[in-house]
Amino acid sequence: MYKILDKLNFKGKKRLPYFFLFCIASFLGGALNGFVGTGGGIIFVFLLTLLTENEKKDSYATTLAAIIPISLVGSISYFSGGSVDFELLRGAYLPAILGGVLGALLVDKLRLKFLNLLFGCLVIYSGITMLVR
Amino acid sequence: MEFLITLLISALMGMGIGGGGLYVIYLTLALGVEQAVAQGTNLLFFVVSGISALCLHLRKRKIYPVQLLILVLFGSLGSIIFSRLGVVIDPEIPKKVLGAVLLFGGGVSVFATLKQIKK
Repeated sequence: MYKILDKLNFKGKKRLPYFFLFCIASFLGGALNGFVGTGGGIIFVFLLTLLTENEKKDSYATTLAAIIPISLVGSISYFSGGSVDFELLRGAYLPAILGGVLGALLVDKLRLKFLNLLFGCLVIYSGITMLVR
Repeated sequence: MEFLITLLISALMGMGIGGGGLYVIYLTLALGVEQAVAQGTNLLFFVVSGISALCLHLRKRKIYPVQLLILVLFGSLGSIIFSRLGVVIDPEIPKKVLGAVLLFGGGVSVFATLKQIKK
């Protein structure tokens, strides 16, 4: 058990409480991702930043690696309920692949602070739109 | 235009900044897709976009395997239970939850970035 706790790279010495918090927040992040079809990544990045000594870009990569299988699992329920539009996806495969590669290549070259600020404002605006419409 | 918007959203996802929420919004508000269909389609869209970005991230970044294992195990459990709920529940509820999540996520992102810039 302690070997596992060591490998979690937690901050400080409260490793056991952090472990339980990590498990609960992982469940909640997955639950949110399944319930609204997105949002788990925000919880995971926040969690890794708060509890671990990971570098920020490593936290992003670990989150990305986790969200892929979680999204796949969630999509199965939506697929069974007839709530996946494959026609829409057919047109989105190419830009999705190209965009993913482009984003991963540009992450070290762009001024991320400016981009984060711009994206944050866009997300706030989108959030308000979803709440009031 | 549709190609360009999808490319931009996918690039934001690939950078790790986010973007999944934006694709749901694009599908519902711009294309008029039903909320549950937008959510389900977005999950698969993220898988495609995420795998291509992850292939490149794996070469440069460190991924912590035990953290990953716990995130995937408990996250998948949460996702299995709540995605079933997302399909059958009144679509207004996940829509409002998404709005609140975006507002919170965007607020945290703006606040943290402004704090970094001040330093």
